[in-house]
Amino acid sequence: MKNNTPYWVLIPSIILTIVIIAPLVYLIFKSVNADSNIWEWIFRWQTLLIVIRTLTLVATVSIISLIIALPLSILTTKTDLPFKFFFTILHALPLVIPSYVGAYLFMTAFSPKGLFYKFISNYFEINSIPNLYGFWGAVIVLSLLNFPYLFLTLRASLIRIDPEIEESAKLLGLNDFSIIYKIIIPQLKPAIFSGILLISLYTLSDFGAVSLLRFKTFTWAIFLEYETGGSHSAAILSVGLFIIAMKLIIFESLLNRNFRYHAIKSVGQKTPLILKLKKLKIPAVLLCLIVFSFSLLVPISVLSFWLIRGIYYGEIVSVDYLPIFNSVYISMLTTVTVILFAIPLSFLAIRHKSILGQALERLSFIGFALPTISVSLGLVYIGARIGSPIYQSTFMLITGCLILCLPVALGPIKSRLLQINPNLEDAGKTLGYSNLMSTFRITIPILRPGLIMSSSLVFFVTMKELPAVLFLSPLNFPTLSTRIWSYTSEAFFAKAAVPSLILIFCSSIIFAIFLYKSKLDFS
Amino acid sequence: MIKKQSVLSCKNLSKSFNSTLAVNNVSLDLFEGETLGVLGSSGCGKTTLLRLIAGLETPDQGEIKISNSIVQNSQTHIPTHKRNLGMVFQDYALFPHMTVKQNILFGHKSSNQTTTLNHLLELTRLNGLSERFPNELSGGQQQRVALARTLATTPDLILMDEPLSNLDASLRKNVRNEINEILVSSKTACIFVTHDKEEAFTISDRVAVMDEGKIEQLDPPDKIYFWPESKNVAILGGTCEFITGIISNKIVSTVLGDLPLRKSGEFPNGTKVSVATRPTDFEITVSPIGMCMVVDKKFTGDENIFSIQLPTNEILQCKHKIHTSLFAGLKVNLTANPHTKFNTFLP
Repeated sequence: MKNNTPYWVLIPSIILTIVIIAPLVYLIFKSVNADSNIWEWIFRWQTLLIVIRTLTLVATVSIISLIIALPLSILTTKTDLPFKFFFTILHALPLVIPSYVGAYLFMTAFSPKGLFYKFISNYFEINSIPNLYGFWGAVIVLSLLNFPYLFLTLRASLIRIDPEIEESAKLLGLNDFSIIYKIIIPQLKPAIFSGILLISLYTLSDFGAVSLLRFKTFTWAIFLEYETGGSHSAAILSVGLFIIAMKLIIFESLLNRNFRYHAIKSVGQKTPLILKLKKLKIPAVLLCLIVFSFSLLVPISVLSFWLIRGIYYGEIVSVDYLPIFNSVYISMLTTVTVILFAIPLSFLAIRHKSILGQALERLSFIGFALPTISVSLGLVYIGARIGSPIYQSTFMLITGCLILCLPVALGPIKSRLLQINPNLEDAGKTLGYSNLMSTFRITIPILRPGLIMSSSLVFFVTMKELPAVLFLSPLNFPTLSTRIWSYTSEAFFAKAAVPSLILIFCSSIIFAIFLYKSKLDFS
Repeated sequence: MIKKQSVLSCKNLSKSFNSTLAVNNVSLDLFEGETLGVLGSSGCGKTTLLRLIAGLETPDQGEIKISNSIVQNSQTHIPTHKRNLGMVFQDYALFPHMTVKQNILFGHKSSNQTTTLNHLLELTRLNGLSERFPNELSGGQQQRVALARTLATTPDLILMDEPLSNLDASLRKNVRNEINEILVSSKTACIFVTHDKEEAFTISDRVAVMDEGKIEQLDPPDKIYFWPESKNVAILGGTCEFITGIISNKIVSTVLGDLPLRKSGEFPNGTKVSVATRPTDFEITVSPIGMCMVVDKKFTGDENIFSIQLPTNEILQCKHKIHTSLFAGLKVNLTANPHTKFNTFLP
């Protein structure tokens, strides 16, 4: 095959691959070189407990998210549910609330003597409500905030189901509900598996919620080891976390391999089949409203309560601008960096299918399996080895965010690039433009909507990012996320309200751009 | 006679992909204002040949000269954008984010843009459409924009890759004639790749028949039809059926009688050969003691084609007059038309 991959594609891709693999290699190196007493310490009862806790949390959050997301996605795409557009937006929006903000709000609202207790003790005689910290707290927070990932994945797949298949099922005599069970859900299986994989990976690598709710999973255990100087044991745990993530990805691809025949063709202008809800219309709307209340209305209300209370008691009147500036600054730098690397990598994956290209693309996929905390830890140790000017520099933080955001950014760019006819660039060449000029005058402008979608996603993810910033940011470099986290862990709940609101507000704007660009298609 | 200038000269071009030879030792020459049709079934290497000439692929070996300067040999590879040639793609490859005007002027480098644009819009009959985007045009219009965009760079040579295959049948004939007129009036040399023999024959001065990466024959269209040098060329050049026969002197004797040879002396007497027949070669006469039988009738509107079963169980396609009472099952005789001569090949 052709092996004339241009340098502007090849060199960034090679750099990127090295950057992605380096932290992992370093962690493995460090684990292998650990003393035997550390390995003994690892192989004890508590470690097994961490594994069990983590996996139970991942499984429970996945199942609950599926129970919430599946009916909502079908209702908003395939039925005559009223206010469909409105509900679609509402069910995507919980993504703007970071897990540590969710945990902070949950803690203050549902602790044994929290807001909810104070509210109902006005009417009922009770001493306290049951303690929902730990496992159930983490399950509730992570399910309510992460189910939109599954909701959006399922919706994207539902929109692509060819309505002719449903129509022929109808002509063959199936009623509306059999169509859902026998035609729609079987076609959704690949999307269900990949959506659950997404949720599992997010739950697995979540640090904010589990650390604030005191539920000791891998991420929090790694953080505690790191804090107390156990660098070797933190490295070993990080590698363990990576192996679990990798296994989940392999498991998903094995499950989905059998479903390749479900290739869903593009629908084009066909009008989708709409199932009539009839008597179920009111229960359906109620279901949507309940999910909206718990995932969005309650968190925002609690946040507003803390804000008003804080203002009332004069605790906070001034807004601290430094964390806002730092968050925006880091997010912008990360976005530019990620896009500059994601374009060459997408070209390598789609346009230049050389052996080297395929190998590089596979390797960069590891970034998808790398939990934030493992990446950050690996980079911290590498940084500490090299020392200044790398250690605790903005460069290091951006590198960390680059690895984390790359998989997110690649999606929209790659799917857009796939749609661009490679003959267009060849046509440019026959019209007198060099290879590079043809790419920049023709392909890049057509790629623009994909670039905007990727940029907004990267900006959004970086704004919310907590563990990478905790580990990698320079000294005295507060961001919105680290401020919220430290205020909450020190129980300054009212103080955490302002940065939380600002973060949610900024995220919402970016997220709105993304939703608008993707035209609610979320491919 | 004035000797025409050479526009393109390819020598011994070869290119393989993953050990399959897509283009196998191809040589051809093209002269000023000439249109060369490359005819072949899909996968025969004709698109690869175009891409090699355009410089979009690099040949494993061989030499290419455009307007007498070397653009490709073992030492040189002049990139596409410096070869001054134009290409019209099968799917037109119009830039979706540009208007018709921007598309046409994309490769135009000199200053008199308005004059060129108006001239090309006139030539390709696209007046009034210059501000539209490609997705707002019909297939035939898109085709003409692609052609105008290519002409705007005043190339020495235009390469066309199946430019008509994405048009519906009713449009194809018109566009084919238009392309022909535009090429003649712009006096540009052109290589026109197609799998449709009618397209190749009507548009080309010469036709190269390609099969499995090789040029089997390169001749004017009538010569390809009447004097095919191989069985493949006979099949690609038109509807063709084969019957077996034995050579004796200037004739070949078959189950349908003795047929005159086009090239006598090609094979020694007594050689068993395949005789190529075209649908117009035989006359059908109804006879109760006929030794052949009508087995099928295909009415296409302009003509009637009958499948006739011979005593040897071979089946021939024969044209017959449009008003006919022939039907399947009828006994008939076949007689060769008086002026027809037959080509024979080793079976």
